[in-house]
Amino acid sequence: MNLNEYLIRIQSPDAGIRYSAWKSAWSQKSDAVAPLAKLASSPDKGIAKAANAALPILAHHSARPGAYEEAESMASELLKIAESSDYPMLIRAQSLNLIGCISPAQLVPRIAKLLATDELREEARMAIERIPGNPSTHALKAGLRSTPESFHKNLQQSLHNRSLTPLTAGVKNAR
Amino acid sequence: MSEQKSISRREFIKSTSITTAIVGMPTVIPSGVISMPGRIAPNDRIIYAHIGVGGMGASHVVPDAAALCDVDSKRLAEIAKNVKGTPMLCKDYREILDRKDIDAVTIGTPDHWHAIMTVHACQAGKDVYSEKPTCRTIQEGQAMINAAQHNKRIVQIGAQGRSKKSHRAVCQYIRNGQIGKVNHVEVWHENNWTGGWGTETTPPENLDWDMWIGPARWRPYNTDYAPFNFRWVMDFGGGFIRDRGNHVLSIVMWAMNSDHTGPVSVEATGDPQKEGLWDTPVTMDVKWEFKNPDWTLTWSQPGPKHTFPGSDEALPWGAQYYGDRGTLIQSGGDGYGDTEKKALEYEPPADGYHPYLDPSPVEDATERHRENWRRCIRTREKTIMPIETGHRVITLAVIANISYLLGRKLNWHPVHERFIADEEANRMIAQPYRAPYHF
Repeated sequence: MNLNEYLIRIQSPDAGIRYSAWKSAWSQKSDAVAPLAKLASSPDKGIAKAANAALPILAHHSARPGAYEEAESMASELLKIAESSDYPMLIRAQSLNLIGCISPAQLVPRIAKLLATDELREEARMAIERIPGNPSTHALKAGLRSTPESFHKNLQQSLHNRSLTPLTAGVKNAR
Repeated sequence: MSEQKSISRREFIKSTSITTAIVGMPTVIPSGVISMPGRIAPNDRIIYAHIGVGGMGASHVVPDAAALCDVDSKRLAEIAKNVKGTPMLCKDYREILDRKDIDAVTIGTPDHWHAIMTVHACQAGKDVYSEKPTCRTIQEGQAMINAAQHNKRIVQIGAQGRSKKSHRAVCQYIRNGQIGKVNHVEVWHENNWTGGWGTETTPPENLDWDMWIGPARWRPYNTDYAPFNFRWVMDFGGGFIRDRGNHVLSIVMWAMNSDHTGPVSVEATGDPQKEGLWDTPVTMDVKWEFKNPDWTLTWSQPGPKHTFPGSDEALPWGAQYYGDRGTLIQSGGDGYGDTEKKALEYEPPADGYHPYLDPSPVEDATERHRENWRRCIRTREKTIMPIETGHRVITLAVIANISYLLGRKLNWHPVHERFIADEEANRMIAQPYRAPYHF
């Protein structure tokens, strides 16, 4: 099913068709991220739920073992949502949550730029905390120099948490 | 507990004019127990405080509690009426942990608070009774174990099925080979709840919503999140598999002698509700595979709803054990439920396996479970449901939910507690906490 057909189905007035579409979100590519993110804040709660539920399915499928390029492409598209003030804060925050699950370490410098924003600093910190590899550690440490002092304890919390569980290499680095 | 603390406790008791016949927890005090660091002397009263006093949390409140904590001030005031004197009332659990005179705390909060509160309580030198489910993530369970062991704390997880005679009978029957080698255990449960959209609105004045969310990811208040319905939200509750699953799977792991290990794979599927606020799957099917010995555990919602032999009453939840010489049904898994007559009447030989049951004379399993905790606070022995076991049991539900969310079968290393060859799944072993909450 091409993207246009898919988007029609996920906006269907029939809850069953919307449901079927969100469950099959794995069949779409990263170009579905932006339109789904738009629909995720639809005033129609049913459509918003379907789009909100489709995004994680799309993201998690992209990060399945062996699909590293897909994960990188998907994380990059999700990051565009997080970076854009065109989307509601909850959608941007949800994007960062998914980014933390699937992003390769290469995207960390871009994610780290959100540490400079008042509104998404905390969500960006939590996303980076989850991404294995030195770039994340460096970004969190660099944040100690570039963020308000009141945020430093949050960054130190992430650095501490990363020491609790041995993190494996990032998605990209694990190849 | 330090010597200093024991003296403080005695002084505290004197200051409150409570000398003999202390109202509170009548426990059997082993002879020879003396006050020393980490132990409570036989004549000392255990000072309790309660964190989270709604639902099951309310059932733990003792009449002479020193302090009560809840983020809902209305509920807090209501429960305080059941306590003598003037207990400290607060909405921040850290105020309770700062009190040096408090020995032990119960935690009856929503699930996403259990781990961090248990860890902090252990670090503060308190013994802990924490409600099920044990925790939300693998890392949380590991942190709870570390905190309990490092600080030599007594922790009981509120999976009180381990203190119920009929569930003990299941364990005894299976472990003594009465149905032969068990190759499959089938757990069934009614569906997760469905609901509407609730109302996204300003939280009621009596509820501190930010504190209610605590370490979880922030989201706006909705009338259909709290109380109780957080169970149907993945970020908070995780559905029946993590809720009552902690009960029924606890009995299965006990009966299958698997408290020390875990499965090697998990595969979960489910169907969430098409409309409405909640995101847990309404129906769910899970399959875990165990090795050495080889057996399979399944979870089905709604599942087949078995009946006891000779009865046509469908049991709403439970487990059926399939052995090469017979079967056995267990209904429920918490403080209620039952099993077949053959298991209830079975007496193992003297050299057979006799599962421990706390000797408390009370019949109610939940109260016996609490009595076991109180006894262990004094003896410093392991509880019937220690954190190590609680972690192993809830691991089943935690990794099942990860498999469901990721939409794929996962291979699990029960010793290393890591997924095999799945980077994303391994990232979900931990979940970042919202500041300022951390272990």
